[in-house]
This record gives sequence, structure tokens and C-alpha cells, in this order.
Amino acid sequence: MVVPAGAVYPWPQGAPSRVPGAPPTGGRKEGAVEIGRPVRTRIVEPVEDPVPKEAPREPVPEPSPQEPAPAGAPAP
Amino acid sequence: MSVAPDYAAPLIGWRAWAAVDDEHGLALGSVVYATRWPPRERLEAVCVHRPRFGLLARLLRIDPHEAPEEGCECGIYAARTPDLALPYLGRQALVRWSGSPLIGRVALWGRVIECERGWRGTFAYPTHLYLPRATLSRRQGRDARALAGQLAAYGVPVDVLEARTTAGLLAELEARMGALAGAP
Repeated sequence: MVVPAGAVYPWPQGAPSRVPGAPPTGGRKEGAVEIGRPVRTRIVEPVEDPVPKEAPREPVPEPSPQEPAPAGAPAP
Repeated sequence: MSVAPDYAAPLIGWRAWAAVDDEHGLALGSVVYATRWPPRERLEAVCVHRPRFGLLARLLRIDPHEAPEEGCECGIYAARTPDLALPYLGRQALVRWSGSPLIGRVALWGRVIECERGWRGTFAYPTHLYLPRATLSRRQGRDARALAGQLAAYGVPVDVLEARTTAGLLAELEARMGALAGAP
């Protein structure tokens, strides 16, 4: 899913605290967890997809066609 | 030219969310901005500086770029330790919705900016959710176990925390992390 415009922080440095249509929180100090300054950039390519797959659904067994009763056999 | 990856497994950090009901059903929402985290889908960050601020972005010389970028503040955030994410449990009122606060662990991947106390990433998905019972208001009338059951749609473990103080929650989280680390 791509986040629609306006739905993801950040707030740009130096921007006014209130801009029409912007979230009311405003200000870089309020933007997110205070995780500090950038140190380095990493490229992370997981071997396995971190998003869990849907649990496989139990296949519904198809009813087996009833074998035709042998000729002369009594009806069940 | 492709760049060799630094890691073959996602980086795991901590975040707070609010469980919110909307027209699509119950979902996780970010606590600061109205970002919905859909179940079974990765969340992808985009930098919205330029489209949102237009002329202002041009004046500030903010060029469009892929999120995250070191010189910007965009990306999906995660803290290195739970104590940094816990204060955000009380901030769900800042978003356009009010919901039940949660804390949990989140996987980040793609381009990830490593910061002093956390990360900003391109893609994210929760890996473990913790629902503090004490943060559910009586007005919401929510049952923690029932809510945890609904959040099972994310396909990750959802645990109810019983502690009633921030210090207690942190101790409970650290104890559970220790249990996870000791698991085979």
C-alpha cells in the first residue's frame, strides 16, 4: 500500500507550525519518536517477506460421486 | 546499478499505534498522523514535502526523493527500545481518530536510515503487538481479549499487557522480550 499524500510525516524543517490541510500536530519535535540524528543508510532486503501470508484455507472435499449400485442390489 | 544489501532480514524496532475502527474495519493507525496500517500489506513511506507544501518546498529547496532520505525526516519511524515508544501510547488523541493505544515491534526494510536511537525505513509491518489493558478506557467499552482477537487479522502475535503503570509496562515488555530471546 502506498500512503496517500498528507498521511505520512515528516514535517519539513523550518516549516510553519500550521499549514492549511496539514495535521494539527506540527513542528518537527512532535513528528515522531525521537530517534536522533541519522548515522548511516542501510539497504535491507529480507530473504523472507516480513508480511505474513494468509493462512491457507482448508480445501473443501468434494463429495465423491456415489458408485452406482450393482444391478439387482437392494436400494440403500 | 543495484546496491548489495547490508542485511537479509528486516530491522526490528518499536512503535506505538492506535487500534481504530473505520469504514474498512478495525486497523492499526499511526499515533501522530492519520496513517492506516492495513492488515497483511506492507506500509510504504512516501515523502510528501513537495506535493504538500508546493511553493514552500521549492523555497526550502526540498527536492522530491524516495523515502526515507538522510537529509530529510521522512520514512516510517521505529525506536530502538520500547521505552522510547511508550510515551506515544498517550498521544493517539493527536490524530484524527481516537482509538485503543497499542505498542509493539515493527519490521523495517528497504532503504533504512539508521539513527542514534532508532530507524526510518521505506517499508514496515508489525511483528508483535502488545495491548495494555490499562489504556482501554471504560468509555470505549472494549474488552482487551476481544480486541486482541480482532487484531489477529494482522497475522502476528497479539498479547494483552496487565501492568497499570508506565514502569510496569516497560518491565512487562522487557520480561516478554527476554522470553522471546530465550525461545528456541
